[in-house]
Amino acid sequence: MSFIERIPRKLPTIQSVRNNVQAEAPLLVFYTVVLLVLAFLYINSFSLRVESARIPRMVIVATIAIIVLHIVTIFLNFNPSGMTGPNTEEFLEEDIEISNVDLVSLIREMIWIVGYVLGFFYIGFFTTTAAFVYSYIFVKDKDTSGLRRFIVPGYWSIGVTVFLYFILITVLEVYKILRIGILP
Amino acid sequence: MTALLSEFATAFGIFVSNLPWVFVGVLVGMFLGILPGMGGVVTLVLLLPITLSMDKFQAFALLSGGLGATTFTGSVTGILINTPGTSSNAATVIDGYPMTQRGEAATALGASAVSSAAGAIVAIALFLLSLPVLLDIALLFGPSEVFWLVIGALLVIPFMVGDKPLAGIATAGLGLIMTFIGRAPQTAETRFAFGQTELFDGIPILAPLIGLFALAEIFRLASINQKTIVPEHVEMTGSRLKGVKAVFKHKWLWLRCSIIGLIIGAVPGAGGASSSFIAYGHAVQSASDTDGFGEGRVEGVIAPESANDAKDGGQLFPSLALGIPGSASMAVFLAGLLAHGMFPGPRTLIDEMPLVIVVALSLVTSNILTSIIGYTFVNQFTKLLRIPVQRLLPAITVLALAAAFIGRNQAADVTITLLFAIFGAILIFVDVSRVPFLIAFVLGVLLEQNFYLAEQFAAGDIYEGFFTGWLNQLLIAVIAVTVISILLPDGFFQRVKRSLWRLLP
Repeated sequence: MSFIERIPRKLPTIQSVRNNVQAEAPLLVFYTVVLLVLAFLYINSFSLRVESARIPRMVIVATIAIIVLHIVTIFLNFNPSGMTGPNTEEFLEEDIEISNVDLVSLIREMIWIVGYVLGFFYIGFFTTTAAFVYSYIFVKDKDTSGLRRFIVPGYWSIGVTVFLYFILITVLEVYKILRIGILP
Repeated sequence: MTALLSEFATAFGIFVSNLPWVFVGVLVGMFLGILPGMGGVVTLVLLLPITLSMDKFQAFALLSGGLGATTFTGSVTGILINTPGTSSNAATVIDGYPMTQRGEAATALGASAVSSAAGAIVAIALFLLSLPVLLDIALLFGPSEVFWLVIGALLVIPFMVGDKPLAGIATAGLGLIMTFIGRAPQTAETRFAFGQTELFDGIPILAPLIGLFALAEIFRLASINQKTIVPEHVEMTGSRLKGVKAVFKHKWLWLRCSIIGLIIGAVPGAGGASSSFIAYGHAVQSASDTDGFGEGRVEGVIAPESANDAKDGGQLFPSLALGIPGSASMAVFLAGLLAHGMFPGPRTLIDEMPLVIVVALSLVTSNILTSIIGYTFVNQFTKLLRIPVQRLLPAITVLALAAAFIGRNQAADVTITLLFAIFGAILIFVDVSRVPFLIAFVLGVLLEQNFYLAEQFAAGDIYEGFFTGWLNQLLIAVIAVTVISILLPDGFFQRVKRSLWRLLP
């Protein structure tokens, strides 16, 4: 169906509006945050010279207009996807379903990586890398048991750290990475 | 023409001296490409920071090697375990997996390897042959024309890549806004940096690439909680040689499907999946006997695989000749040009012809090498699929974050990358494509610079600068027609045609 065919002929009922808003609630929350940020940037752009601010201001206004239009279409139960081409992630060349991603698991993974980055800054890159790889595999890989549960993460931890040392220090000579944090 | 031939000879010499880098790229691409969910984008994103210490020819030989390798390896998992490594290989599964079930896995892989390599050869040979014409076209583009090209890409690609096109255009807007952070090209005044000195030179190009694609992908894969990619051992039965012979037997099908892949690949945003499905449809339609399709016919493997690899050659046309990425992988490729101090766009062909030729030759070599290595060592590669995902993910995570640091040797870049990773995870959760953001981020610099240049050339007269000249008007018309045709009802033109026929006496 094309854009025009998707335009609703009748006003949506309150129930259908409620259903749409519920289904797209995460997107609407995201849009609210984005609109606030854009409004802040728009106000901030007035502190710049006209020549520096002209294009950014135009893009900010256009983006706000598009977001508002999308919010309206969500409320009107109208999805303006005009073409029957490949969907979003086909373009990205992936096959795994993007929908039904569990928010709790997603946040849990983010915490792991935020923890790693904090360790990177305050402890040191190679020490944190070895500890992160070991603890991640130890916690997540539940297929191994007994002594192997302790040994397998060790192999991976040493392997990954040595590989990174070889690439970063021996090949690319990025010595600065050794000076971040209190340990190497 | 003589100058072009001389440039070709020079480029060929450079390409030969950089062959080892193509080989390294192929190995990395095969390793990452065989893991479903990783694919070409992640491979290029992880390789790109390593290339910063290389010269541009070494860098793009490595990147082209990686890019070419991921296309074939995606079909290996599709044929063997019914899980395509990339969506471009999805059509191959229709007949490839039934062949495996029938005990002809090796035959399907042989056919896939040869048709992939042959498809790439046809497409890239046509690209190289059309370089003189493309060069003439590139010379027609000035700043205002490049400005319209970028506007066209930003408006049209979101409609083609997502089922939420307005959200796609909005994220493209956000991508553009990110490029405004740092010094303004016109005045050198610092914008939207809020006193952070790390942002005075703008957001590093690697941060959104690694954050939005590599790390956000890792969040997603980890949150799915899959243990291994292949739970069981895959039996490699059948004759590989039989698969090779089948490609020669169906040589016209292979050639037609390669041309289909080339044409579809040349349309920005059309994507690999559509080329392989259209080629598969063509194989079914053109067969004298359609029985057995979907149950393991070798033509059902040859058609999508030749189109799939030919589309890589097709994507070189918009990406290298116009600076408009034909896919997410090509967007990363163009980001590579920026990272190496070159601007994507029609000037690439004019200023960097040897590099363009090296890329084309590396890509075709990569496809051939991948097919040979894949054909020979497929059993060994499938062993990678039995490594638990939980062991691979932390390794790729630390590699990605180290890659973010390598770019400018600044710890702040790791924080910026992490913020982009969180933004990418949010986009995944709200089901909005990250691709328009990436394309806008890569093309944003071009948009603003060319806007000011065109305005200066026209002495500040916007109408004179942007709306006069046949190419400007043609581009505006193409953008308008494309957007309007997206908005019009399906079958509108057929209905208009029928009405006109009725009016005739």
